[in-house]
Amino acid sequence: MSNLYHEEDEKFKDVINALKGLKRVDAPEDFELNLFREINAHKHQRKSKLLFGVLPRFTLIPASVVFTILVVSVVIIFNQTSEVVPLKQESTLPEAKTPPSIVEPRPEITDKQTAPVQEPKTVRREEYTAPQEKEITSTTRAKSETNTTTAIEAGESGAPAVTSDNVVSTAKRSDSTVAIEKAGKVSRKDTLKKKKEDKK
Amino acid sequence: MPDKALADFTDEELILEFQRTDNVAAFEQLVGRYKNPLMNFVFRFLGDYELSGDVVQETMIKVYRNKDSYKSIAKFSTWIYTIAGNLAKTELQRRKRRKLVSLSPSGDDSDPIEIPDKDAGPEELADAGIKNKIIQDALLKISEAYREVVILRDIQEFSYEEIAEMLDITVGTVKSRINRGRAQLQELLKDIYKV
Repeated sequence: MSNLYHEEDEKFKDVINALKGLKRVDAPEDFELNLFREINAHKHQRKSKLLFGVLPRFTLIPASVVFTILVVSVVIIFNQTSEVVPLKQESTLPEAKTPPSIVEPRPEITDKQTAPVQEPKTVRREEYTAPQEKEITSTTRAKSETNTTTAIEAGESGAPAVTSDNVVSTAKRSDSTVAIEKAGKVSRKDTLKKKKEDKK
Repeated sequence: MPDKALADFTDEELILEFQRTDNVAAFEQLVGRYKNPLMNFVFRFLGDYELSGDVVQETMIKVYRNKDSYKSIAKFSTWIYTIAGNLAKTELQRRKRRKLVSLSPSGDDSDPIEIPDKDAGPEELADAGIKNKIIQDALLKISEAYREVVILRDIQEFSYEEIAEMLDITVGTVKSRINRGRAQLQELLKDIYKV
């Protein structure tokens, strides 16, 4: 710090002297104490900040892993459920050739009630027993396929077992139904109603 | 390293010691050397004792935390005064904004605190106190840019070059600002010279 006066300083000698004569202001006595207290407080804040800064990194990794696992599992499950139907349909087709699984359902059903419901099964049955009946359309075949699938599913899920007698009876019933339909005595609406009743 | 040796260190050696070894004693030595000059500088600039204490404390904390940003090419005093000056200016701006928002225009908190002189008698004390107050008030009336350079030059007794380095302006600008500041002060302190 130089005490040299420049030329300009002479012009303002009084002002400079007045400023130099100002009493020196010192820091408070407890300045250092407060300063180091503050510094330590800052240190603690930093430490806690660091902890909170690091924690999310550790929590982010497992969180992301769990999230990806969830997403992958959801995708796999979704794919499985979507694949189940065609696979089962394909697998049921050859199984459907075995008579017991085809004609499984509801042994206590009466002739009147079951006649329209058994229609597709009858068709299937007839395919095995009497393939010469080619009046059955392709749509009915499809229906029968789905019905057999449901029948198989029902069997799998603990539905009552079907005896061979029942199969015969249903076959007979189905023959009669076909005959009725051929005759045109039973309307389509009636068959639908009966289906509903049967379901109930 | 013992404290006696640290007392003989220059400011630059102390800050380098603090940088290298994290020796808090070196920092304490620097605090001891600069707390009062910085307090005087900031108080003359702000005119508020408590606020000046806070600013000087903040300056020291900045030095402590950002010790590695000091480069040995600059003088330590230049560096620490730059920090203190910037913080003081920021504080002044903050206070101005607060004043604008405040409902009471005559902010009592802005009144400067009288610094009593324990060695002087009651009359001298009163006289010195009044003079001090008048000069301090005059200082606070001139613009910030002029006030800063006038304080640094005429109260803290820094060279033009040092002031230029602190404020990152040319020596010519420093000189012109000092002259303008002094001229304004002279105008404001006319009555004191008559007495």
